Amino acid sequence: MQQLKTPTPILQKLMRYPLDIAILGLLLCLYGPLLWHWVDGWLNKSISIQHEYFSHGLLGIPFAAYIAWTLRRKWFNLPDGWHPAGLGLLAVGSIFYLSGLPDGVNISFPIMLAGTVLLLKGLAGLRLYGFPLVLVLLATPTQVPYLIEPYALPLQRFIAAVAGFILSQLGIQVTVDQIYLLVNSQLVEVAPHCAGLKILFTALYVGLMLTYWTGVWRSKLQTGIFFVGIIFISVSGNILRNTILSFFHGTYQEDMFAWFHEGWGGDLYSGTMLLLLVVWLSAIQKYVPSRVNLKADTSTL
Amino acid sequence: MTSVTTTSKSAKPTARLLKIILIVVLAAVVAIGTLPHYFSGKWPWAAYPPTALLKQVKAVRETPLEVTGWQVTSAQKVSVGDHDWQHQNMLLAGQAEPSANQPNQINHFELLLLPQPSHKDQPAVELLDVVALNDLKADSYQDINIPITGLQDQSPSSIKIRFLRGIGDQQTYAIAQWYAWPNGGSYAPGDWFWVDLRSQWLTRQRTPWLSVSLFVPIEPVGRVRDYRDAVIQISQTVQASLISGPMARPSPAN
Repeated sequence: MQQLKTPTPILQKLMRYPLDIAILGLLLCLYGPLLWHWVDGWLNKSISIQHEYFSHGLLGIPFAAYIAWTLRRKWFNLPDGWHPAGLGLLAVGSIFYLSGLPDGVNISFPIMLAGTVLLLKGLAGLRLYGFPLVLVLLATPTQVPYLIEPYALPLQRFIAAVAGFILSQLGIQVTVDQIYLLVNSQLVEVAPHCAGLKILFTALYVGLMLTYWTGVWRSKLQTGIFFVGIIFISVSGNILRNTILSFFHGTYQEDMFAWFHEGWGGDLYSGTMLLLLVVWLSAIQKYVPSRVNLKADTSTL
Repeated sequence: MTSVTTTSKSAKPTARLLKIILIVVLAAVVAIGTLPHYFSGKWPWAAYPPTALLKQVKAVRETPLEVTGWQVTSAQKVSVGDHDWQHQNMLLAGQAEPSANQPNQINHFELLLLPQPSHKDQPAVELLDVVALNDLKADSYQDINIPITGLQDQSPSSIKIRFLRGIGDQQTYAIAQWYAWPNGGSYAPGDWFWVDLRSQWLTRQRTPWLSVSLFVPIEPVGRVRDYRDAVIQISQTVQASLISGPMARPSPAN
């Protein structure tokens, strides 16, 4: 007997969930072009400095999708349920998307995703997919860095002061005024961007991904120490970076300055710093216990 | 409505209904907000709305600002950091020569203006730069809210200036700074942000901004708070001149 052609196993599986596929397909329609626009902007640095702050999304969004995919069996096993907040988020997300304003459309992405999750599986769904949603939220381009920048002033001043100190220890003539370094009458401004806000956010985000990936998030102690270390590594790295930049600018090595500031030298430096995070995390996994047991010694009472 | 929980694998009617609602809403959004742009290839979110009055505001770079009650004795471009500011020496109208400023009567000051360089720029460190890069040590900071009222066909607004003292090698100044926009102003970039966000949503236009810095020469290491009232008055006049000049909204044709 002739065997009838049967659909491939994958198609068979997909046809079991027509409504879910439709929802995913529509979301893809809505946000496909937008996500492409984000990626293009991150790769070519063509949109704005604010957009650059979120370039960790290149790693983070695929990672979030991957996590969601690995959890799909748990998702389908969740009882169907919904939460009214889902309707609210769906409404807000739609309005923001239809506004056509870049900031509105961008933030509508995590809002719509969260609304969809809440409408399909309720709070249990939100808990299951909470982490991937957070990853998406923190990778969504917004104007938050712009609002934070004025408050980075103390950090900028600190970095300028320490960088100036290091240079003076190396025997270089340097004057520090607030956030400005004067080396051989060449002026370097430690702007908020240069204060390493971006690299700090990226480091924290990568740290977040690493704690999930390695399972370290289960230990509050290890996670806490890890994040304190991230801040320390990031800020120190940035002090060093500004020291080097001031040195180049002060000794009139403008091409070296450009290489380190805008060119691949800077990217190499940031990449090395992120690798340090991995080293730091391995050290924590080796030497820091997952919990500290404090037991009162009652035997001598 | 309580959430429907079930231990069986079959989709309960409520769950299916919700999925259908979701699909309908998403499809509607796609139809209204996405499909039309798929065909034209242009996406609304690829760029911000245009900035209102940008051309007029940028013209301040070339044309000195006329301030009511004051005469412009000289105007030139001054480079501060990355930007060129419009620098004007202002002398009280009717006076021939500047004389030493007194707390109750300021007769000359320097006005520095920097319109936003392009539609992409947002206020950031311009006001800080213009003080620090002129080798002035800043202290005695005060934030002052100044109402701007009594202008014909303009609704009342206010500006929040930063009032400070700048001590230089040659000269001490009482300084007032703010970012000006058509219906207000503030020294804090964050304040402009919310006004701009509001104008984007309500009028589909961005809010233009212009950095203003007034430098009033005073006696060396002088007491700035003595000059406070006079500086407030001048700030009001400058803002009013901006609102009726480069930042004037074109009146609807009759």
